[in-house]
Amino acid sequence: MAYSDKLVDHFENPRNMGVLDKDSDEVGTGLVGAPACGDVMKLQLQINDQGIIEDAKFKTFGCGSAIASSSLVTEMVKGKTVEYAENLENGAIAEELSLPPVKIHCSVLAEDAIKAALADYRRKQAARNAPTA
Amino acid sequence: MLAVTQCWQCREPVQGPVCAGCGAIQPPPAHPELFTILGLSPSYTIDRKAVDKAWRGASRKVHPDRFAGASAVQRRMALQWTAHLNRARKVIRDDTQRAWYLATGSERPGERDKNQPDPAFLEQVFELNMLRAEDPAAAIERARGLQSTEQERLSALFQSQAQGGTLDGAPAILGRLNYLRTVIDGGHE
Amino acid sequence: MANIGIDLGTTNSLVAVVMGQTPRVLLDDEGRSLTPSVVRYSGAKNPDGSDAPPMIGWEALENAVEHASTTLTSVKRFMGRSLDEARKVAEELHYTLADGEGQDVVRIQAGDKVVTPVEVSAWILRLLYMRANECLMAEPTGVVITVPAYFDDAQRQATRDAGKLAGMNVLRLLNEPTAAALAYGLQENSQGTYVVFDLGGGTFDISVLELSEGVFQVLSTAGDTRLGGDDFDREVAKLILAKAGIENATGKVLRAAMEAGEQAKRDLTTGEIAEISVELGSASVQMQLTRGEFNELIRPIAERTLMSCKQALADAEMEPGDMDGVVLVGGSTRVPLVREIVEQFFGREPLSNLDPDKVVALGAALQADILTGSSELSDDLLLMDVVPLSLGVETMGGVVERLIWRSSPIPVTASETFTTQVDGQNAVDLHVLQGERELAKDNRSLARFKLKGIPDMPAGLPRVKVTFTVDADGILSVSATEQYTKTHAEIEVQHSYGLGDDEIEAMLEAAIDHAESDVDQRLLIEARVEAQQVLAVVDKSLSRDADLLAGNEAQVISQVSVALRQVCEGDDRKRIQELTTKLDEVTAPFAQRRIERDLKLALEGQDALEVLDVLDRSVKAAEDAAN
Repeated sequence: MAYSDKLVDHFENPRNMGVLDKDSDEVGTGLVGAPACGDVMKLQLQINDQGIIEDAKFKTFGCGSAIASSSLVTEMVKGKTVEYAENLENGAIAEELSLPPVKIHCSVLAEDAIKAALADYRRKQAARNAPTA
Repeated sequence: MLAVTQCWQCREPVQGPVCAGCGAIQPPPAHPELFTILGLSPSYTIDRKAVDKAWRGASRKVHPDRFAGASAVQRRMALQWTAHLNRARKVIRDDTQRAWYLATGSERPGERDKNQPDPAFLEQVFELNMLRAEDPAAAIERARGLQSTEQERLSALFQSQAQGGTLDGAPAILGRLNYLRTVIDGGHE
Repeated sequence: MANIGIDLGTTNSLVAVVMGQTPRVLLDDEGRSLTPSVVRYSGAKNPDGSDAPPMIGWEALENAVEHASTTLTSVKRFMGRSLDEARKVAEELHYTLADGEGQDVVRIQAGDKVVTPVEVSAWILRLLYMRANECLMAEPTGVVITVPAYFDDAQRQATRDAGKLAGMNVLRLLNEPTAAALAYGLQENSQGTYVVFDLGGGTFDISVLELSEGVFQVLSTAGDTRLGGDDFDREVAKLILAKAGIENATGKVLRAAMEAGEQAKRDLTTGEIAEISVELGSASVQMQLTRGEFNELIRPIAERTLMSCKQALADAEMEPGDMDGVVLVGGSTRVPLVREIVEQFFGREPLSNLDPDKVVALGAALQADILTGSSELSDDLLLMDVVPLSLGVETMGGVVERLIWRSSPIPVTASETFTTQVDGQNAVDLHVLQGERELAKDNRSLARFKLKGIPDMPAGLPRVKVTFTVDADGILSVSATEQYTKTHAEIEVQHSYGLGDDEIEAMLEAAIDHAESDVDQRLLIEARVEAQQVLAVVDKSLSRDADLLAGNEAQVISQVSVALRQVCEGDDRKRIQELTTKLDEVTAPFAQRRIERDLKLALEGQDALEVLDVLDRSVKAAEDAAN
């Protein structure tokens, strides 16, 4: 039951807005857009040697729902493993949960951004590891 | 052309929204072709005055006020017909919506449209959005420049279509215009 | 067979009808066209101990100062208002609101009686309806009631409910400026663009309309539902009270000051100086007010109208100089400063050959006549109104997703597909809003409802299609369907602060009990007419589609039909209604089969889902018709 309250709080007070150093090898950057409404979202993950996501930041130009989704997603992946982020699920839900609806593209934008950020991180890691291998 | 069907009330053949025989309004199609219901031919180039004229003429036949004394079923059909006409006018009068409609059959991109523009363009839009926070005038001016380029491309595409070309490239251009529009309008804040 | 038009105003109301081809305002026994929109609950009883009907109109206005606490004026300002909004208005209007018993419905305390704004309005409508009945020597067939264009959904519903409560067949709610333009447009018989500037007692509306090829189209509309001539009176009243050294005036004192203010306003419409002399309880005030002083007093209020003018012009993509005619409506446009401001802004002298008090009622009568379908204008003229305020739903994050934009021509439908935000979310909360602001909390909340029964699915998978429909009266209905499971929810937007259908029914019953016998007679006639209509349909269906009858249906239907025909000869209205309902019930499966077959034939060639969709709507419409 507390879950929905927590969620609503997220929408009211978005967290993790900002940018990380996009040139760092530890940072994966995902930039995605929603053609339906012209929203753009940049989401960055800072990942350490153990594959733990140490920090997550986002910058979204779009509607409130898109900003809120970004906030929720970054908060969920912080401190988690890369594997967790790849298989992102937002947990078991209490019964009878009812919340306002969300635009479809807003609900997927953050997820797509996470996937894109992880792909960018992998590419960087592969490039760094290539010469020593 | 509107298909010939059978009037649901008097069973006589009927063409158009209202039966010429018994005066009953016919069930509206769920997804009518928007130009056709106004009696126009699909075209990217339009004359707004002509569209309004067509809309007025069509509305006079099917508006619920014409069926004030008819059954609730007929009044509801009249409402649906008129709502279709009003949507058709709105879509056709709007340059962007008309273009989407002609290119894809829908006046706006689908919610599930995942076609991402090329990364360089997206980066450019992101930078423009960032710039907008600091120097709105400069950001809007640059976005307008990109916008007119895309609009010219779009017009060229529709012209080539008239000579037998396809509109396959239209959604990509329209998508880019959508991103630029949010920069110019200040997004959704 | 005549339809009538009613201008249900904040201060005064009128009824008009088209005679020959000319609309005329109907006069009362004393030859007056205006009826004060005032109701006084005297507390008088009928011989049987029930409450006697209240005094309405002029009768109620007499001795209003003496009976300030039981005399209700400007009740239109409460129509469709939430309790919070109503408190603000009540404060201005010296009213006491009754405690809502935990409900959010506005109830006004009138002496020892508690009434709703809808009930009070219904009494005013009844009086005008009776006048029409007497003048026409026949029952009006249908009624067109005017509302300010800027009225939102709740206010429109409240107005329609008042008509329903008064027992009328409300054909259409018509925007007041549209009505006024109609009256002028037809008189001038010209094409062109009109702006209608309507400053009434308590509301201000501005509309831009275009008359072209027989379609009178509203291009845009704007206004302020809390701005009017009463505000001018109040400014003068404040000055008077200040002079008398009275703070926080209430009841009789406030009313006396307001009346003196109104009188001064009237005097300054033609004269240059108003002599004010008023008794305020123990104090009394004698003073002079010049037109110049008055103008400065009211200028800030009068200039507030220009904000809406600019808005309406911008929406219509027009400039002040583009107008072919400027129409003034409402008694408050007689105030010279108002005329001056309007003329300056539009750069054109306003039209004033029709009485600004009557022009709305005249237009309403014209539209009512057009709706008979047999008027000369029925085939030539069409009114196209617009949505006054954008409509949308709240999405996650408290943001409004607009589905229908301000100034869209009506009727209009729009839909949008949404999804869920979390895995296993079983329901979505739909919060319907009206207004132009980005955040839900800054807009007018119209209704909340829940689409339940969404099965466990991952977030983002369900497809919740929300559809808005605004009818020709500007009234909204909303439906929502989850596309995979076809979970469906539909509401005619029920306002939390409006009245439920049950409540309307109960009030209707109560009203009938206490009303005069001609109302009973009318209801009886209506019941008979309805019975005859149902019988006619059944007869026709039986002769046409007898092959669709199943089992002993033919026998049952015939028994009920015969019984209904018999009771129609008598005066037992309840029995007639019961049997009419019964006949509807026993023929329902048969009717369903007929509709299915008709639509199948009509829709041959269209895809199955569309057929179902149309079918679904038609069945609903048939049910509506039966209700």
